[in-house]
Amino acid sequence: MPIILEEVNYIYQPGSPHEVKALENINLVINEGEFVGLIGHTGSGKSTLVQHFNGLLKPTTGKVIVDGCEISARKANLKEIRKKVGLVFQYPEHQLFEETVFEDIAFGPKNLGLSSKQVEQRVKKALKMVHLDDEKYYSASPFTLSGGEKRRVAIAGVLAIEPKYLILDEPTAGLDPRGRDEILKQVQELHEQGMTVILVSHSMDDVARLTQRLVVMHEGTIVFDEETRKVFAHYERLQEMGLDIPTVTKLMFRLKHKGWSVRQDVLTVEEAQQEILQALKEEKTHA
Amino acid sequence: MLKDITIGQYIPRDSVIHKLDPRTKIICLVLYMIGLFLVNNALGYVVVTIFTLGIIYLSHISLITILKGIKPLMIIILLTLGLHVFMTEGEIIWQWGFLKITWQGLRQGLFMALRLIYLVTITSLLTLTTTPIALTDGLEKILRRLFIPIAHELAMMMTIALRFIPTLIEETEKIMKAQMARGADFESGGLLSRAKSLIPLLVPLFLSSFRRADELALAMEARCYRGGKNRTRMTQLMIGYSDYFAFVMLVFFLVVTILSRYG
Repeated sequence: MPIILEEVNYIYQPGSPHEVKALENINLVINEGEFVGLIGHTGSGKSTLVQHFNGLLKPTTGKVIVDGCEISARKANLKEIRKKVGLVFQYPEHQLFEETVFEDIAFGPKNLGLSSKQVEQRVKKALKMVHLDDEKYYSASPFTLSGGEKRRVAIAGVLAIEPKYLILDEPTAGLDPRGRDEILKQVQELHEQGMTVILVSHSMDDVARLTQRLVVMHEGTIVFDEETRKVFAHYERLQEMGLDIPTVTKLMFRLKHKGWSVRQDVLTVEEAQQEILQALKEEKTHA
Repeated sequence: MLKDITIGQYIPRDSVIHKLDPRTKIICLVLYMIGLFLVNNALGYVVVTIFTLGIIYLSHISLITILKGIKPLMIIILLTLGLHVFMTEGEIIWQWGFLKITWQGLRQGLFMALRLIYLVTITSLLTLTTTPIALTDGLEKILRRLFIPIAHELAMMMTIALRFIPTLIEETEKIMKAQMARGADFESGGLLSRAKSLIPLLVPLFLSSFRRADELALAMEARCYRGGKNRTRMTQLMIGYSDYFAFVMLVFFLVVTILSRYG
């Protein structure tokens, strides 16, 4: 079953002079098995939106329904919803607190009331998912790890809850290129294993490479909600909103501008290479 | 929830109280407190009430804002009231088992509660009408006059502490949410389990505070901060006519309170 948002509005501190309308009339359906990208400028409401998916925030008006269960209903079991929807916040390594990596990841499963044996299984599985399954990590203090490793431990902490939906808020912020590639590769793997993934990001290159569907937010509203490839055709509109398009896509736009006959909905370097070679060939035959 | 905390909040308004020199405001606060503690009868409290309401009126800050600031302290105020009402010996006006209310207790309790309320009101008025920077500037100047050697350092510490209250609140909410997303429960359970549930919140909070302190120290050093020595200010504090008027008013207030007690 999907996550459904109907006419969701969210206002911070309503009725006070600091009132801010963060979300305006949001209608959105996230289906099982999708890999959705969520992009938007800082302050566009992305982070506010994703906190509605697991009931950390409740809509001021409107409905959020997760697997047929409405989160603002009085009897809504929020714990059950948070078990289904895992949310990895920005800089998740800041939430580490236990003495060992093992204990920290066990925090989530323990809160679910699982037996110690089940907890152990889940922790090991979660660490495997983020490729930190070497035994030496189990008893290490999470604070002695490198930045990328810390983040992977924090992500494993959410994975150990075994959520159906996984939301990642800027999972690669502040990491070096290698750390970034590792995290993104693992997210891709998780999706291939059947998890529904929502990736919040600034980086068009990352989003273009990974996601099939892209939701673009601007000033609290959804501007585009389409196949990723199609979204980047709105190059100018995106630029107005302070957003960029993937580097290769931009290259194709430039080439087209210079009179080359190339497709513009190109997302990867490989595709671009093919297109350019094709165009060159055509030119030769013309000449 | 956490957003209701108003300690150290500043509300910009265009009022005479806002324009007073911070030194004036701090010294007047001390004089006011002396007056408040001198008062010991109903007449005195009437004077204090009128005077306080007058200051609030002049400050252009709504009474509701100030009452909101008193709300979190209601428990302490009620506790003080209760203790005095039930524990003071004297002329009994009501008795039930070991509980008794005395005329003296009622009077004492009410006065103590009022004293606390006015104390909180006037101190929150100071922070509500003075920017943190002006406040610490004024404090530094006063401390220096009192020949306290580390005046600048003390004032600086206060500025930084005030500055980081909102940041800390924001951080707390963020970590709380992150742990709640992992199934943490901060709201139910007994006292012990609730205290235990704070560990996942406090450890990251302490860590980030230390990290922040470290970064701030480094950033200050990188900009050649070396304490208050030879430091000049962009805006110089000036004592004007309204400041003299404020002093006159406060001295008048003090005289009235002294008269109400001994006169």
